[in-house]
Amino acid sequence: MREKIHAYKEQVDRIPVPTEKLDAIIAQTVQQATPKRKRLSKRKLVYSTGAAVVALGVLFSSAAVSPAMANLVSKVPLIGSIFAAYGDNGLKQVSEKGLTTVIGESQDVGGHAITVNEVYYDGTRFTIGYTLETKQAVGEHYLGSSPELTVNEKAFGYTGSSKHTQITPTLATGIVDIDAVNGLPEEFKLGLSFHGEDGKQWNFSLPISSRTDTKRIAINHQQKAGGIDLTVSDITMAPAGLFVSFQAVTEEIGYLSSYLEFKVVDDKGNELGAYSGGSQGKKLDGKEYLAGTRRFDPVTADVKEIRITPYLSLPSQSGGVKIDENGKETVIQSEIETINKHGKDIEFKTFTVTLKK
Amino acid sequence: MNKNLGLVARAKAGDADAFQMLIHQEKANLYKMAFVYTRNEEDALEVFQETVYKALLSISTLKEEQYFTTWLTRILINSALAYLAKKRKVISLSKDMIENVRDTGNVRLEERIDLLEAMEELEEKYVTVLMLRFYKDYSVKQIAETLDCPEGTVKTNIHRGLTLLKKKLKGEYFDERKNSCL
Repeated sequence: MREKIHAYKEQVDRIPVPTEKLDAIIAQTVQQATPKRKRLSKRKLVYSTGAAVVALGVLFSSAAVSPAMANLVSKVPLIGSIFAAYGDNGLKQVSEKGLTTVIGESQDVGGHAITVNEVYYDGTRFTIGYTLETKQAVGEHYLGSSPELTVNEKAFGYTGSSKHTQITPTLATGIVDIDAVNGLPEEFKLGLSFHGEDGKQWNFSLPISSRTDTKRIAINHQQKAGGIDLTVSDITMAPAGLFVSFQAVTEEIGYLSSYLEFKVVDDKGNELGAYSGGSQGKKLDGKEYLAGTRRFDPVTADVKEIRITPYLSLPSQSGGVKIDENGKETVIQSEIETINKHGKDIEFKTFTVTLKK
Repeated sequence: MNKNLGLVARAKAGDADAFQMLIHQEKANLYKMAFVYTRNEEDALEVFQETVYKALLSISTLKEEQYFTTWLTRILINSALAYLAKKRKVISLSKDMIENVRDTGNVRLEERIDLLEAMEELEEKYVTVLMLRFYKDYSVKQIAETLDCPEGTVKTNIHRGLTLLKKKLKGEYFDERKNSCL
């Protein structure tokens, strides 16, 4: 039987894997489903107390009891700022400083209203805040796919992420963060189309112009540690955050460099809050090329320099357990363990970036 | 905000790239497990897609990052069982599978097909525990955690599953040695 069982494992191992099809499924699923992701933690929800939320509560209470009132509400732009209430620190700050563009344009389609509440664009970050208010509960995945965008009436393919917050069964807010804004002009006409799962469609056309108060500092810092050739090419300071751009080249070991994170400390010893970033990798000639950005809280105006320490944030150990005939258990090497093995002793040097002279 | 963000943490925070990298690491395993249940590529791809979709929608609720693989495996098993329950049909060994099996050298063809077919005829609960135990090499404890059921139930199901398998295999390769985990 033991031989049989061994044969079973071997057979399952030998099941042909249609890798290309799997890759296509992964890409397609992530692209289609990403905007549905609910990313706000409870902590953030608790944090979001204030005028905007009170106003939402009051308006919703009225809407809940009166269909006529609901229609009226759907035409009234949301009071307050979604960014201030539900955004990260960068968005909160720009909202509080009045650096966002308040749109407040609302459209009612069959009793379901979407209001584009607020937009922020500074050449590094492009974010749209909206609310969806519906006649009846529609579920948090009602706006199934990400909104379609056009820029100057041409289709604009993008990657990004979104936060969806269901405030009540019939009221939700969304914040769409569009990544890779490099291709966007300073000023453009944004076309924004939302699609409901019942076929309803909301179309907006909004003029967008970039704030010009961002500052990009070329660093071109290079260092090598444990087989990772790291280049921190530049940092960009914008009102909504500080961005570190980097490139890394390694041997083909499962995108070890994608675990790169940065600790950023200002000259007062404050560590900047770190947010998720993105990275894209390519394999070429047995090497992995990765380019990415990491976003942090914005620095205050009086900070003259920051210290950046790259480090690897490796995944926790995991993997299966193999039991031999004597019952001895050994952990099976998995890809994650390979990553850990390669990455465990890698240490990068801290370097300093001067922001002001 | 947690400064010590790993790939799972980044995926939890909504980093689509991080999520994709995690799935790429697991995709072959996930697909093979889906195939064990469905026995054909088309259905296995459906189960795989459902698994990726559900994982993406719910990764923000993953409590402990080190259990990502276990969590993902659980999603796959639930997706596969739900899919089969919906579909309920007899699926024969695919042509690809037979061709692939034929290419292997060490173990006899009839032995391979015997085992696959025998496994296919088992109830899904036995397929699940035997797959986790002997393909994923999970311990009884890990299986219990993955399936969220008592270790005793896991042991019973492994034992019953093996007993049924042995019967189906007509005792041809029967080995009476007891294993403490079974």
